Amino acid sequence: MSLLEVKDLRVHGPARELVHGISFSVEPGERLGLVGESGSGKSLTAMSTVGLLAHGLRAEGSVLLDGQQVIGKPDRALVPLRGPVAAVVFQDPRSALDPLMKLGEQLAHPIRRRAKREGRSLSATALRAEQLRWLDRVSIADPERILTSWPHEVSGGQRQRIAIAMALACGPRLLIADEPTTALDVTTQAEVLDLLDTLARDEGLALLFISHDLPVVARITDRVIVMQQGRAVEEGPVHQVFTRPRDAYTQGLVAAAQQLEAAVRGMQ
Amino acid sequence: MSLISLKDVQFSYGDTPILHGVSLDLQQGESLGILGESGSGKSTILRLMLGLTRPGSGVVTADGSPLDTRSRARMQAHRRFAQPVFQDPYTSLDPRMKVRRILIEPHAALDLPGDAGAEAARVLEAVSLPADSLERYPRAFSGGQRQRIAIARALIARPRVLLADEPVSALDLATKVRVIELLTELSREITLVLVSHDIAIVAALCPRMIVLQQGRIVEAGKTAEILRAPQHPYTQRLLASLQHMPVETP
Ligand SMILES: Nc1ncnc2c1ncn2[C@@H]1O[C@H](COP(=O)(O)OP(=O)(O)OP(=O)(O)O)[C@@H](O)[C@H]1O
Ligand SMILES: Nc1ncnc2c1ncn2[C@@H]1O[C@H](COP(=O)(O)OP(=O)(O)OP(=O)(O)O)[C@@H](O)[C@H]1O
Ligand SMILES: [Mg+2]
Ligand SMILES: [Mg+2]
Repeated sequence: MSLLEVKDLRVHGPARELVHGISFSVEPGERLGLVGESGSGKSLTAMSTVGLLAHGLRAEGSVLLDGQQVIGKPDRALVPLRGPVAAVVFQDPRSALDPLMKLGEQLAHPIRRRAKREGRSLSATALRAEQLRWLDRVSIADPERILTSWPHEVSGGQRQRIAIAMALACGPRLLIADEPTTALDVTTQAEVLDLLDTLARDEGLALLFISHDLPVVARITDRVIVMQQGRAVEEGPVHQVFTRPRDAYTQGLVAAAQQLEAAVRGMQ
Repeated sequence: MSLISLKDVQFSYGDTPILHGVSLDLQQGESLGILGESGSGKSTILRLMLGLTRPGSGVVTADGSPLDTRSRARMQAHRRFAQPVFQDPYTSLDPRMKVRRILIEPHAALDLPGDAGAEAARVLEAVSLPADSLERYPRAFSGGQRQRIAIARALIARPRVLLADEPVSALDLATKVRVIELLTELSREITLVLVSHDIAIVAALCPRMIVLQQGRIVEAGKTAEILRAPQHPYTQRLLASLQHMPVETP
């Protein structure tokens, strides 16, 4: 059984349809990329898979997450799936963070929930050790200070990594990550990508990875879907799509990425 | 002509030192790229340049005189001189305001010349957003669209300096290229300070750059020279960590 199976997903906005029937599936341990135009419906598609569409939007079609239908379910029924089955890193890391709660306390929540789920008791010392371990895994240099900071007291990239740590600490089988590394310098980004690799290899973590950064998508995913104006215009193994794109939009996208890269290489 | 300069600036949050003796000089027409580690103090430098915060020691000079953040009149003039595009496009846009008001409000607050409505339409077009965007709230836009609204809001002041913190990170490539073209065109009139992790963007827009690590400038100079021959180990590591497009294997 697929971990996530999306069939003919449509998202309706207040005035018009925004996503026009998209279908795909993610197997356990598989890593799927979602790329494409700004406003093409990548975030809406991702949010629909966990029933987190904003007020005023409505999903239609079928989304099976670990075999359970998500569309039309009340939020109450979806809460048990969020975390253990699928965890989300939002495009805006701030929306994942409570501005009125210190970061250490926020990170403690998923760690406690997971321990409870797995029937482990968690001493204060063990909790602290886990908090520090997660911050270390996302390459945060001064974890002690960060744990006692408020969300507005850390940098954009630090916030983004804490959001990643919180999502991973849930112990999900699928990580939905919407532009998770935009605020990271390339060395820190490489470390975070290595961490995702390790989790995929050792724990069978599956990924739905959204990014405008084609080289990053090529590095971290196996298969990719290209979206344009609410539709999937191309899908295939990432290496194939990025070296031999068939669709005209994808061809333009790949050419633009190659040109940017050539421009930098030309200066080196 | 020097537009903004920092001279031996130290900055701390409480007991935590953040910047250690940072000096730099922004010359008109010589857009500056700031690269560096996450948490190294890049956004803090922009906040100092904007006068949103004061250095612990050292001097920030703008438009020829020290920036006195306590003077209302000076800060009003400074907001016409230097405009920000913040790192988080979501939180920097007031969710209760329609885009029209988001764009028109600074026009009125800064007492700018010209018709506010016409200017709003001008900047919206400049960032490739449709005119009907004016009547929508920020939440009805995607991440990249919001980033463009933030750029439009900064442009409406027709500032001399644009201080942009990761302004294109949420944009798809085509839009990114359009925004780069737009910024290139603007950079004839507006000098940019561009914080970005994207080396291609810095290379395209900024003839000069600095590299920051743990609150210190570890490398500064001409972008082309630094890219060709990075001197500091951190800069070398940064350039070596770039991800690449896959190439066809025969
Ligand atoms: N709450 C909403 N109400 C109305 N329209 C919306 C809403 N949220 C998103 N949209 C519209 O739906 C379309 C798809 O948005 P979505 O956020 O999925 O784009 P995206 O592919 O993630 O883009 P980006 O790369 O810029 O983040 C956009 O045209 C956007 O303007
Ligand atoms: N209000 C604050 N109080 C205390 N520390 C802060 C505050 N704001 C930022 N910091 C700390 O100051 C340091 C520099 O932050 P800054 O936002 O300037 O980094 P940055 O280089 O912009 O990083 P990024 O690339 O992640 O955005 C970070 O370690 C951050 O945790
Ligand atoms: Mg999005
Ligand atoms: Mg920053």
